[in-house]
Amino acid sequence: MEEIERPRPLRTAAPILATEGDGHGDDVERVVDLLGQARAAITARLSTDSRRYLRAAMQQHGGQ
Amino acid sequence: MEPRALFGIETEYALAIWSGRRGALRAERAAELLLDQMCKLPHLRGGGASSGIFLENAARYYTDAGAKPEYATGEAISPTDAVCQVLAGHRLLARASAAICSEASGEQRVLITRCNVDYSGTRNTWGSHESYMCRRGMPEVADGLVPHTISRIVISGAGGWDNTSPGLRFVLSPRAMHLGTVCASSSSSVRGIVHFRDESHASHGWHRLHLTYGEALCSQLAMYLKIGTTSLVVLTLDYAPDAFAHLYPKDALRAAYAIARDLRCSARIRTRDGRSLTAVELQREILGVVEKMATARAYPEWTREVCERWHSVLDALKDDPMSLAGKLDWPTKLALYRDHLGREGIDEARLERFNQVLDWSGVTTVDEHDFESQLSALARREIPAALRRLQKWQETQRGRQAVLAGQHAGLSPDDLRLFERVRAQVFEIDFRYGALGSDGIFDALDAAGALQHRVVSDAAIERAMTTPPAGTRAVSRGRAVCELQGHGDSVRCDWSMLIDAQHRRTLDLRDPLRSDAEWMPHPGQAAATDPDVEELFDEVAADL
Repeated sequence: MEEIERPRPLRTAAPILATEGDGHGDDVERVVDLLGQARAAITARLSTDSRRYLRAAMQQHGGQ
Repeated sequence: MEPRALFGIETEYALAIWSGRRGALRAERAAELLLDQMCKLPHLRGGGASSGIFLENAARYYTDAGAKPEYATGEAISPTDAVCQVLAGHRLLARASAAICSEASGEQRVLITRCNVDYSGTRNTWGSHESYMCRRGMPEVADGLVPHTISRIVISGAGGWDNTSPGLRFVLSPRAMHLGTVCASSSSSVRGIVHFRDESHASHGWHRLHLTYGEALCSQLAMYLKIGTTSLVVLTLDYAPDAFAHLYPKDALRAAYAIARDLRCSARIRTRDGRSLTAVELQREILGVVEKMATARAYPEWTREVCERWHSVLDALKDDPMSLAGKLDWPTKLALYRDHLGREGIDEARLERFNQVLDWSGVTTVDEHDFESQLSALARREIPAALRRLQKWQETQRGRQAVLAGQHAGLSPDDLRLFERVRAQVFEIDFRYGALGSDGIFDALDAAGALQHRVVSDAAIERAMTTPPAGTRAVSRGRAVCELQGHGDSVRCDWSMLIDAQHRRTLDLRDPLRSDAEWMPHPGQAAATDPDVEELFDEVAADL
C-alpha cells in the first residue's frame, strides 16, 4: 500500500477553459499546460488526411 | 459463505500494422504478429474454453472474434491491484508492438489503441468487459445493476464522438449509442446495459456477473472508481437484491442515451420511486445505499477509500464537470476537442448549425462507407463504368442536399468542407488518444506531467507485469506458469484448472479465493467429478 500514489485533493472549481490572469492561480497554470501540451502532442501525430488514415487503420480489424 | 469482492477486467484493443510498401496488413496477420511477440513471454497454452495463452501474472492473452487482441487480467480482490493488472497489460502490449517494429528494422509500424468505437464507418466497437464474483446470479440482480451501470459513465465514460451521428456530437460514453436493449444474452449481436452470461468458472456456489457495457479507459482514477464502485454495488446486491430497485429508471435505454449525451451532467431521469434525478444525483443515492449497508455488513478494507474518492468526484461533477479535465477521461477529451474546434473557428453555436445541416441532408460517413463497400463488391463483377456513374450521381445528390441545407443555415460550401475536414481530424485524434506508448496522446500528456489521474505507482505496474494479484487463485495459476512454462503441449491452462498430462496431475482452481492450490494426481477425487477435466485431458492427449 505504501507505493500507492495518492492523487492531490480534487478541486471543485478548476476553470478548465479559463484564460490566464483571471485569478484562479495554480488551476489556470495547470489548464494552460494541459491544453498547450495537448496541442503539441496532436500536431506531432495528426496525419495530413485524417479520413484516409482512419479508413486505412480501421479496415483491418474487427471489434464487435 | 459471506459475499466477497473479486473481479477481473478484459480489454479489447484496436490494432493496426503497416508494413513497408504493402500498407496495412490484414487483421488476421497483424494479430498473428502480435501473438507471436506475446508468446515470447513465459506462458502456458490455454485449453478448454480458454484459447490463447496464460502469462506469469495469471492474465490471459488471446485473439478474439474479428482478429482483435484481448487481454484479461487475473482475478483481483482490490481495485488498485486490478488497475495495476490492466495497466500491466497495456505495457506488455506496448512492448510487444515496439519489438515488432524493431525486428522489422522500422519497416513495420504498429498502433495498438484503446479506442472504443470505429470512426471509419464500420460501426464496430471495442470495449472493456468486467467480471464480478457474486452469490446471486443473473437475472436476479439485473434490475439492481441498471441504475449504476447507466449513471457511472459520468465518472467512467471514455468520452468520444457519437459515431452513429452524421454530424459531430461528443458523448460521455460512445458505446452508449450502440446499446440496443436493457438485458442482452449475447455480447456481440445486440448490446445490452447488462449481460445475462453466467459462466462462473468457479465452484462453491459463486456466480460471475459479466458487464459488457464498459469502455477501455486511460485515466487511472476513472478505472479505479469504475471497478471499485461497481464491485461495491455488486456486493450490496448480494446482501440485498432490492437495494437499488427504487432507483430503476422509467425507461432505462432512453435514460442511458440521455446521460451519455449530457455534457453538463444535468439531464434528469425519472426513477421508479417517482423522483427526477440527474446522473450525479443517481450516483449519490447509490453511494448512500452502499455506505449505509457497509456499516452493517462485511465489506472490503478498501471500501472507505473508494467511497471518499467517489464523494469527491461527485462533488466536482456537480459544481463543474470540466474541473475534472486531466483527471477523468471524458472531461479531458472534451477540453482538448473544444480547444481544437475553437482554433478552427468552430464554436458551440456554429457546431450546432453544422450538425443541423448534416441531419437535414443525411450526409453520413456510415452511408458513404456502406455505399463504397457495395461499389467495391459490384466492381469485381466488371460493371465499373455504370457504377462510377452511379457513384458520381450519389455524391452529387448528397452534395446538393448539403449545400442547400447549408444555405438555409448561412453556411457556404467552403464552411461545409472545413467542417468535414475538422470532423475527420477529431475522429483521428480520438483514435490516437488511447494509443499505447509514445504514439498515444494520453500517454504523451501523462509523460509531460499534464495530467493528475494516477492512483498506482509505475513500480507497482511494472511488478504486475510478472506478478499475479494477491489473495486469489491467480497466485496459484501464476506460480504454475512460472514452473511449467516451456513444457510445450503437455500442459494446458484454463481459468478454473491446469492440466499436466505428462505427470498425470491437475491443479484445481475452482475456488476463486484459494491462493494455495496444490497439484492432485489424475484421476483423483476432484477431477473424477468434473467432466471438464476429462475433456481437457482428452484435448491434451490428442495433441501430444
